[in-house]
Amino acid sequence: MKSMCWWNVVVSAVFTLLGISFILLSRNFPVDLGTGDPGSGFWPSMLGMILIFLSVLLLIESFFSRHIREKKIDLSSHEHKIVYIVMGVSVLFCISTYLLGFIFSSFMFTYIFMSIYGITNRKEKILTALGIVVLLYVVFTLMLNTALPLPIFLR
Amino acid sequence: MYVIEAFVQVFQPMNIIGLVFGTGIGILIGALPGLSVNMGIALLFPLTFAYTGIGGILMLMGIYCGAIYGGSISAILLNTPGTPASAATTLDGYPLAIKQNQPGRALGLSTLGSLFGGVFSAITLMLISPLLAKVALKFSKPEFFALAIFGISIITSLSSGSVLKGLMGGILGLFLATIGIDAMSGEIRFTFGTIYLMGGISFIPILIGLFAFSQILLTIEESYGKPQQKKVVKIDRSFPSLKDIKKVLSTLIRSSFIGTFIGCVPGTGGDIASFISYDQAKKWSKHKEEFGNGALEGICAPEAGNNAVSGGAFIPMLTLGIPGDGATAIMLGALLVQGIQPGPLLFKEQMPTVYSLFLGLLIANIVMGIFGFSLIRLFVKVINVPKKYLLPLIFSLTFVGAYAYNNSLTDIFIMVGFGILGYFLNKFEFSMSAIIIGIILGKLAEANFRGSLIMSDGDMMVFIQHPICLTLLIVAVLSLISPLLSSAFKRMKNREKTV
Repeated sequence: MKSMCWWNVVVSAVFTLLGISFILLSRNFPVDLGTGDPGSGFWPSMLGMILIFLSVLLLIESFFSRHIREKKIDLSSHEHKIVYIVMGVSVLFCISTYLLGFIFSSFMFTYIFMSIYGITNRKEKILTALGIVVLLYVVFTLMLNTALPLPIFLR
Repeated sequence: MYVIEAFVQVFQPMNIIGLVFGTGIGILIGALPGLSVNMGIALLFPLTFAYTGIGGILMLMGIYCGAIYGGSISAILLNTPGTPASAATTLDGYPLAIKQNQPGRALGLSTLGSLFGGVFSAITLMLISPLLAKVALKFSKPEFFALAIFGISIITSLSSGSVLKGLMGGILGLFLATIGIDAMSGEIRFTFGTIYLMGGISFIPILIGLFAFSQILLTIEESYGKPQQKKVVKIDRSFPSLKDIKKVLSTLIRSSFIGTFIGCVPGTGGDIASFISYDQAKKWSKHKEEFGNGALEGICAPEAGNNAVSGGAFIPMLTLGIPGDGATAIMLGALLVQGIQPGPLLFKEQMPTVYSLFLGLLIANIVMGIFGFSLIRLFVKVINVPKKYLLPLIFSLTFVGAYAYNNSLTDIFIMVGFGILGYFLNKFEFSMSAIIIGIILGKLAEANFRGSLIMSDGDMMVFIQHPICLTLLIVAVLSLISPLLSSAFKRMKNREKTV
């Protein structure tokens, strides 16, 4: 478990890098057109500078505030690990939806999610996954006429 | 004439069905602890794509009003507010419902308070908005820039965790808004050669990712491995007696005023309104000792206050295009998606739409009241819905929702990416609303900033020479620094106390 101060240093570093990226990316665009229009590069580079300034302020605040130094943030408990697994499964679901379509992927996702969440009854998991897929198909495809992603070989 | 057109628009069968459905679903979402108003609106946003015109917005209004009210159900029965706006309702709602064993009376009073506050604020919206829009019609580019800055400045008030992080999130949102074709020069910015980003980054997957997907991840973290307790509640009656109504009438009026006024102030919200209303009800009460033990005014005041915020928050949103809170920021996005640009011109060019929105809000509040009084026994059951079924359903809804708007698989990846980002940003006390407000107001701020400078040949004094612009900028600066000042004052006071 690390302190909020530690995490704020990480956040400051990441946002400083973001701010620098904004400025570097904006270099491809004019900052001043000389006609009164500041140019399309002015606004994003200004945002980059403000972001760097705010990141530095956050860093300073983190070292001077006792409240921030004392506050702890846990990102490594068992519950967090479950969340990270769900995140990974969600990314896999996106890839699976691209390849195999929504219906199959959603069924699999629900089944796997319930398993990760601690449900052991296989019948319950299959029925829930089936129920959710049917419900979404009826509501979105049949009632609202919204297309759901098809498998790559049917597209 | 406009009113008749609005009636025709709103009372189309599909629109009314959408509004009634939205209100019902909103109540259910609000009643479920862990699901917020913002999440509900973001999650069901995709359903509105089936509508053209005002129908989808009416559904969202129903969800908005219903969810604020729904929060009181779990607040009263479980002592767990469904939404932060209902936190104050627990103080007297739970003691009356459970300790004094009168759940029906407590729920009936909360319904009455919500209905009164909601209808009161909808009527105020109808009376005040056109007047404010008339003033706003005189705005030119510098005023619109100042207005956008004022809108962005409310981020500091929305960032309960850290003001600095709120501002950083806002800047991130402002930068995301620059992606795509530049409106002033036509140049293509930050697309990295992809056609997908040419039209700008899609707002909806980000919205669903930040508000819904990240929230589900947080709910998994909180609920994993914890058994859900089942609550059996017997409702005797759901309509308050005439004696009770007489007792709380003055509280209802006072709290509705407070809620509407607080709703008008961008950056505030239902949680602040409900606590101030509760506090005022206690101060004006002749029997203060009852508060905390099931006082009738203690239930009505926060509920009237938080529901009155709905109409109040619509005033700056519709007339100036400035969202009052996170929920209205999402509503603003929904209006833009439907091709409705909130702001003073809306009152000049699309009056039937404006009246439809007024009428929609009023009807949503009335439907909410009818549901509350008649179907409360049904809504009470929702508090026992097991999370093991609810979470996968919400997950699937976020995927469908992200895909539905553009039929784009890339949007699903973006939604998951922002959902994961949102989870960590939530842990580090960033405000999701700040990012959304940045995205929504980014284009308005940049275009009018550059437009103003073209108007004045690059002279920055243009922002000072226009009195309304100057006033708005001063208010924006005050709004930006006020949370910093108030926390500094608090620290000083604490130090004095310890000395």
